[in-house]
Amino acid sequence: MNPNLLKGNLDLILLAIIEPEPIYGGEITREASERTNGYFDFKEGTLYPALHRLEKSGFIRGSFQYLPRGGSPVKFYEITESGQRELSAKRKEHQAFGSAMNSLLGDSLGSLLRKT
Amino acid sequence: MNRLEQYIAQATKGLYGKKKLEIQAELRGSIEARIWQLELQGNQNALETALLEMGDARNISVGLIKEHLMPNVLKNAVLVGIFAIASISALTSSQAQIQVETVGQSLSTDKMSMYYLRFSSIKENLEAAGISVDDTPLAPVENSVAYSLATKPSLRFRFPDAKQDLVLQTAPGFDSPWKADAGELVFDPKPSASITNDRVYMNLWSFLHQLKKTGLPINVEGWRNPSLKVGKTTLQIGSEKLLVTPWQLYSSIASQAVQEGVSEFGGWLMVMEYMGYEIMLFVLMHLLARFMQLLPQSMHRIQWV
Repeated sequence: MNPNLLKGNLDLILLAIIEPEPIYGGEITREASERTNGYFDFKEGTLYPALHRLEKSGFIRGSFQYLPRGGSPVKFYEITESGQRELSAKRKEHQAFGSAMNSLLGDSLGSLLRKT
Repeated sequence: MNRLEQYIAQATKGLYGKKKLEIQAELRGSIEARIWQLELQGNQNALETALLEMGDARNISVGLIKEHLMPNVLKNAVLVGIFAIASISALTSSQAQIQVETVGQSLSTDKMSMYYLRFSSIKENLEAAGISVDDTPLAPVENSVAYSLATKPSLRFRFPDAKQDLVLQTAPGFDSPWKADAGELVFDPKPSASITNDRVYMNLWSFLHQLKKTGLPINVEGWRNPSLKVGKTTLQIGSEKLLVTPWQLYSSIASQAVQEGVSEFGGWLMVMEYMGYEIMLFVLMHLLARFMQLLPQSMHRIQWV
């Protein structure tokens, strides 16, 4: 996929993945890939800076937790109230954009079919 | 250091302090969790697989530097710019200016000039300004390079209200001594036993760096041969015969301040390595100095805090 498309929608994707339950960095990458049949593939160097940016903005909250298996603590991220509002706004924005694009492309396709 | 720690160190290269430790802990926890999952699935090479999934550590480092370090770099650069404009407040010198003998030398690589101050002139003038001076050589340093085993000629100035003395010495390295030879300054790898009986000079940048350690407020004032005000003492660096390029003195102060701010976040060298950022910083500082040139004479002041 076009990396700019991913980059432009990164906040929306991450917030949507984090929304249901707390999740850590590595799981976010796999979740994004699995839920989109491998369409979203975060490049190295993209995920953690984006998570830290969202954390600084107050949209997500990170906390270290020890897992029952032991070992080093793992940093889990959960969405905050302001993150929920941001996600909701971005969803609406994306849906409006997608709808407009579909109308445009649908019309273009329709007119193309009519010409042929 | 094992493979995992090597990877984490590489991925967080360039970061600094508490933030670096926190990010290292995050990466460690995330990778270990993945290794554990892979081992449960029977993967015999779980560590390498997990690191492969993470991707190139160098790219992670670049991404993290952009997120965590660059805003601080810019913040410091902007702060210096603000200081340049905000420190317009009136500064009055209670003492007459003192002239420090200075020589300039053009660098062959470009049209810039570097300035060098004569040690003996610094001593004479600061003494005349009432600053007490001690020229006892510094004690040798054991377990160090051969040169350090000898006593180091030094000058120690005691400024009133300074947190620590101004110490100038002819040690190789940052304070590299330079010697006047046939009208030209040459680097002196084996400095003279006395730094005041010979025509030994020190780089202006090194001098500024040592001055900063005194903890005294440092101001640059004026445009034509700007003066350097250290606490209540004013030093005149240039002269009518040798006009010190004002934008260079201003930018020396500004660049040092920025580098200092950046080094607090530990990433100066890494930013240089990864971003080629020193060029941007250099340009910014010189633009700042050029901008100051446009201001009225009374506003030509910058404070190094």
